[in-house]
Amino acid sequence: MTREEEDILIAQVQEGDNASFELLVIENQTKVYNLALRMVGNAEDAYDMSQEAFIKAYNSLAFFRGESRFSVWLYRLTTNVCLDFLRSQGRKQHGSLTYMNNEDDDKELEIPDDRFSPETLAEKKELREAVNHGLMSLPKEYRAILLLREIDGLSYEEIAEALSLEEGTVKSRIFRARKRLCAILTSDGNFSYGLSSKKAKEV
Amino acid sequence: MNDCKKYVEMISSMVDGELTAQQETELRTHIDQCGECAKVYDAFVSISDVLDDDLVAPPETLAKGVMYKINLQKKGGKRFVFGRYTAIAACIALVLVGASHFGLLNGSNPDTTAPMNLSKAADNESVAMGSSFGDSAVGDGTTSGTSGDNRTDEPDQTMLTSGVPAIENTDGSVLLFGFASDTITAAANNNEAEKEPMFLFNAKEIRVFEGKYYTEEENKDKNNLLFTLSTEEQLSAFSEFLTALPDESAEYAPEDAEIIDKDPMLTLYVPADLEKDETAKDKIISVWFVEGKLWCVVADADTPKSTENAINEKILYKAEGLQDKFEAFIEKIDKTDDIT
Repeated sequence: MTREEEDILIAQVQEGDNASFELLVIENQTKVYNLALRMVGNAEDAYDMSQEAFIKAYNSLAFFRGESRFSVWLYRLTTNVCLDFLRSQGRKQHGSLTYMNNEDDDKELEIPDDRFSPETLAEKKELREAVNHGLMSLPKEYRAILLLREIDGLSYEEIAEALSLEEGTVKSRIFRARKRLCAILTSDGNFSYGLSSKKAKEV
Repeated sequence: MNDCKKYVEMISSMVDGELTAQQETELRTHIDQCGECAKVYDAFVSISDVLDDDLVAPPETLAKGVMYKINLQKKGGKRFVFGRYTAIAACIALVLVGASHFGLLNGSNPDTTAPMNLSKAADNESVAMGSSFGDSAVGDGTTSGTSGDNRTDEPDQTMLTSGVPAIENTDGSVLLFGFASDTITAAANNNEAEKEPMFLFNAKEIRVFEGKYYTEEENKDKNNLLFTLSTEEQLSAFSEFLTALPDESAEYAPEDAEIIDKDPMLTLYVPADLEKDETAKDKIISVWFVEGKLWCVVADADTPKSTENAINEKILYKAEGLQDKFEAFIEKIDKTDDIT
């Protein structure tokens, strides 16, 4: 959907045409849902978060001025809905799932082992599991920013706008998120995620 | 190595296509010569690839669910309030919890004129009931205080957890939804529209009646009180339970009148906390059992016309899946002819 098509639909919704909103939902639901899925870590909550984000979008569409792309605005809503949810979950669980404290940000990046080189890359499926698993161990704010980039394909500029951050901050947070993710995968033995666990079982 | 420190951050930017052509050339030259940075590059690219190509299709009901909800709130002319339904759901669950966990089925209230077959049944069956309800997720939830987590993982518990929420055309008009929201926050907001469930959180006493609740002029003597929750322990367990629940709700459809014109199976009476709010009114929650779903409607106790309330206020809750437990319950209290 081009930006022009999007703008036309939005104008129609603002005039009271709900069917146009459905088109916007259908157009954006995959990215919204996948963003939510990786933010909250399970399908059930992701469904609820996606629905809430769309309903919020609808209810506040009157305030949407078209300064940014609708999708960018929508991803921001989704991110915030998920972060709010995770915060409330965090309160309930009396604990943080955060894997590392902030001091780790200043550590140098551990050099990943060979497993990530294209030649020796373990089965993609295993890597996928490891990465998704590792994502949930990232601090949620880092997770959010990385996902806006990776899942929703936003540029640094768009992320900066969506999250009200400086572009430089976006750049360094995404880098830190990747760095942490590498560290998590390494320390979990997850660069050899499937392999090491299989070996362990055999012994 | 100092150079590498600069380059690894650039690698991240390059993966995101955020480098200028000149920067990229510089970085690629470095990566070609530096094995370690090459590994970092491989790792970042792999992570990116994996995240990017692993998009799953959202459930088919997502878009329809969103549109249904939007059309409802539009029709109602009232912002849809998450949260209050949860409170109602909790109330129903409490009927079971109250019966098993607190052993209150044995307790009769001195004010009641007709404890009748209920307490008789309870005398005979209380042990069996206790154990069967003890196995239920509802019972577990209350005692452990982590009910939300426990129940979410159990696919067969669909009453208070939504499972993967689905739109189901149950009778051609009724759709069921699952909503997760921070219900306690919603309830605690001073927002006028979201005040509704507070009466449950503030309750100092909850009386559970069998069947319909009769108002004074109708015939108060007909009321059959099953049990009352009133101790601090019971009420705080109740509040804890409320806060752990996800939402699940449906809104009123005209066809529903057929059901809610009939007497409810149970009625929960919640006296208002006048100390906190002088204008508060006593509330009653009527409970029906329809085709495996639990329905309930909230009304002011002095105007317990449930149908009118459902239409005017759209306070209707329909939950699936607790049929078995309720059937057992009804069997025990020797009352099978009421609703089904």
